[in-house]
Amino acid sequence: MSPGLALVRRRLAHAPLVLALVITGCFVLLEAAPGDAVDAYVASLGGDAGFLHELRARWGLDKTPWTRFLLYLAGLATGDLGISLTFNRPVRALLLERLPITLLLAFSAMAVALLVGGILGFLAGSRPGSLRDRLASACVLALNATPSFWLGIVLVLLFAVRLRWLPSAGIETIGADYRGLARLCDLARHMVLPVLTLGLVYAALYARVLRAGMVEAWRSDFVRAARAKGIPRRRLLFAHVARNALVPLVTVVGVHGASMVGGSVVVESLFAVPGLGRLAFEAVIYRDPALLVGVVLVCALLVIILNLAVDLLYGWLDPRIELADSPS
Amino acid sequence: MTTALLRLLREPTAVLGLLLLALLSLLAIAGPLVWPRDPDAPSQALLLAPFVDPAHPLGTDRLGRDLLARLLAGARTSLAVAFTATTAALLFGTALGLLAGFAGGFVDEVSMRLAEAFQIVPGFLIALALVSVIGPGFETLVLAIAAASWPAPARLIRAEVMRLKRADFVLAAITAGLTRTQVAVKEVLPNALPPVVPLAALTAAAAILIEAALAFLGLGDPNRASWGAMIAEGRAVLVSAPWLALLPGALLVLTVLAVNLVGEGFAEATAARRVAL
Amino acid sequence: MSAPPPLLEVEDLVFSPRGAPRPLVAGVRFALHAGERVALVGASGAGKSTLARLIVRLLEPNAGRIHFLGRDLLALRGEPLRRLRAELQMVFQDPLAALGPRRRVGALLADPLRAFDLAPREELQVRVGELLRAVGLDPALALRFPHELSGGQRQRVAIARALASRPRLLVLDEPTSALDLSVRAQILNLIERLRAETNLATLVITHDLALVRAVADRVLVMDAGRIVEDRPVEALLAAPRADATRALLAAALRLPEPSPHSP
Repeated sequence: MSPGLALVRRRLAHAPLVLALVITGCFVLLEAAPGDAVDAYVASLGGDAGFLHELRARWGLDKTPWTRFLLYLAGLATGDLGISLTFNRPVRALLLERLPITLLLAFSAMAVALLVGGILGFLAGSRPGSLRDRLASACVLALNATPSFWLGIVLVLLFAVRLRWLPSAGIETIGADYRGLARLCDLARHMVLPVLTLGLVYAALYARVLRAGMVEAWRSDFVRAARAKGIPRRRLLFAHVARNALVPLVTVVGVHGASMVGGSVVVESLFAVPGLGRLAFEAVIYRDPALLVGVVLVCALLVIILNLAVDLLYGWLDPRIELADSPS
Repeated sequence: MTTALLRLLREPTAVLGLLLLALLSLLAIAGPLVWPRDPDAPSQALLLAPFVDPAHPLGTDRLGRDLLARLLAGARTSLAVAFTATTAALLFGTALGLLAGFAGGFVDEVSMRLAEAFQIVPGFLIALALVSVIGPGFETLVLAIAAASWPAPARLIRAEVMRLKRADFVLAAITAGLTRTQVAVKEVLPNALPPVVPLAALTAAAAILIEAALAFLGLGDPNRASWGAMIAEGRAVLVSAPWLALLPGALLVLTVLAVNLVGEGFAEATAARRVAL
Repeated sequence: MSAPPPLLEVEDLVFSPRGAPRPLVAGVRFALHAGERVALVGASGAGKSTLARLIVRLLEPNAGRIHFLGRDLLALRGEPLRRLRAELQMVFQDPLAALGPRRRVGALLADPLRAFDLAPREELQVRVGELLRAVGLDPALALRFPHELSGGQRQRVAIARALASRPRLLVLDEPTSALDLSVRAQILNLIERLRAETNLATLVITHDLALVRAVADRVLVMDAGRIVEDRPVEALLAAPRADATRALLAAALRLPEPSPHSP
């Protein structure tokens, strides 16, 4: 069994326990946050001691931490993630509202990353050691060292400030009130720079993994034997080498996929995209732990779902995996 | 150890990376001696362009602060945070990995599930969460970045221990009368560490980027100049003074690149050694 | 006058790790006396190496008893077990794998001397030199790393390390199968010489029947986790009883030099 697949399987098998640990960690985080929800609430809205007491009782804050943990769990079980004090709305509603934008951003970025990373990695890996490989690898190294927010600023400087092709912030033109297709086009234009910024960062990662997989495949006994028999490089390149490198690539896409939400905190803040990442940032600067914990939980769930997707993809990519799965 | 170092110096990428890193470290450490100007002292010369005034070779920012001095101070912050956080993550991860690998059973199960719980949440979110609870500062940065980075070394060390603990030379050490602790320290640990070095480089590179990103969001150490914060400030004058955002970014890229090159060189060197054996 | 109690007594030993389809050691029983030369033979996978590791307490059996020097070996834990290891040593098949790769020969040889309080700190270096000389090596090799030695030199170091604490029983797991043909005889002669000097009992594990005559007076034949034959060498070679023995003999006749195998 490939190490990547083993990792994915193990993660899935442990998912319930790990999720329980994440939830516990979140609760500890909520408890550790200075002041309780009522302090924050009253600080922003004002109120006397009686009101304070009543609020604490209503939210169960006068109970012991253990009871509160059970109450918290009971809330989670019914999908109740608490109230965001910043927005004065249920956390769940906020998450559901912001999630689609982040998913759109993340999946588009993933597509960009696969396209750019795929081309760079393929160019490098199709002839390791060649000039082409050196150039592509240098590109990847530089890209890999570039912080997303700085890349975003450079792109803004280039495409929004100098060339004036694209908007530099937001997800729609304010006040334009577009409908239907026009609105979709407007959204697409706004998403180009954030998607490119997030995607290019991950392109470097994907290119490295693809190249490494292809280099390994060129060195395999099978490919060497085929080359010795006179089968042309070109035929092996697609039928075996590139195909072989797809499995680790899928693993990385799956395993690192959800970390895009982490990356989107910076990108969404930079481009004022109202998604989950920006929500996390807002939760931090407005000291809204319930909201932050909500984002963390959604991320954890996304990771588990992505791992499941990767597991399913494996079977389709490499039918040998089922056979090789017996303990050795 | 000396042979490993020699082999490392035969890797051109590693040499380039080491040179770059040495240069950057030198700038960070000796910078204040060479260019003894207070990075936080404002002046009358606002938004001075680079290479115009010899008093401010790289120009000034919106408050008239000297850019060169600020870049040098930023290098110090970046490297100090990355070094401390990486060391903390590696020490904690190694200790926990050793414990899990040797103890096995319940201890192993709990520590590994804990590592997975930390890995399932994106590292940057973990760092954000800790900063939000503790409040920004140097110690918070170190703690937040270390908390986001310890699981990988912990799992790597544990896997190495699991593999090594069945190795003949470890069994032979047990029959030679070594205690469990002696076996762990003398035989297992030195052989489990080499793959940690490339990982340390990856961790340090990620640490530099996380520090910069937190500072960019205004969540860094408010008492230290940071490249990330400088980029955020430069953004406001992106059109009139683009170098204020571009220069610290370029240095960031260079630093992370250097660290990555060293890590890659070391991975190549150890891989070559494995083949040679 | 009754016979002295055996040095090692193994009774109904069972080892069945989780996930294994059948026990690797399935009820082994035998005894071994002080100074005796015994060989344990069997095909690959018969359970020889596993049995060896059970006897020197590197594996935990699921059932059975082991008595060594009149003590219940399986009841020993922690410090008493560590102390007793001085009397019960093992030499592994591949000396390169059995010597810590990042430690010098001198440090490896000092381990047992220090662990069993056999030499004061200031004498360690001298004693390590003596140990090296005793196995026919130059004391200057103490400064080398295992990978800087030849295969034969490595196995000599491993033997020196095992004999440093003057054990009563030495288990040798295929001690020559990882070595070149030219040095095999030297190592066997060395073992025989050292055995004669002390009243050491040896249990040599091998799948090579040609070796048995040189290293043992008595042979245990193992098959599928059980001991199927336990007789003097000459009698066994002349008239094998068990199918496993006959198969091994036939193989030895067909292939005078069996190829090295991994356990």
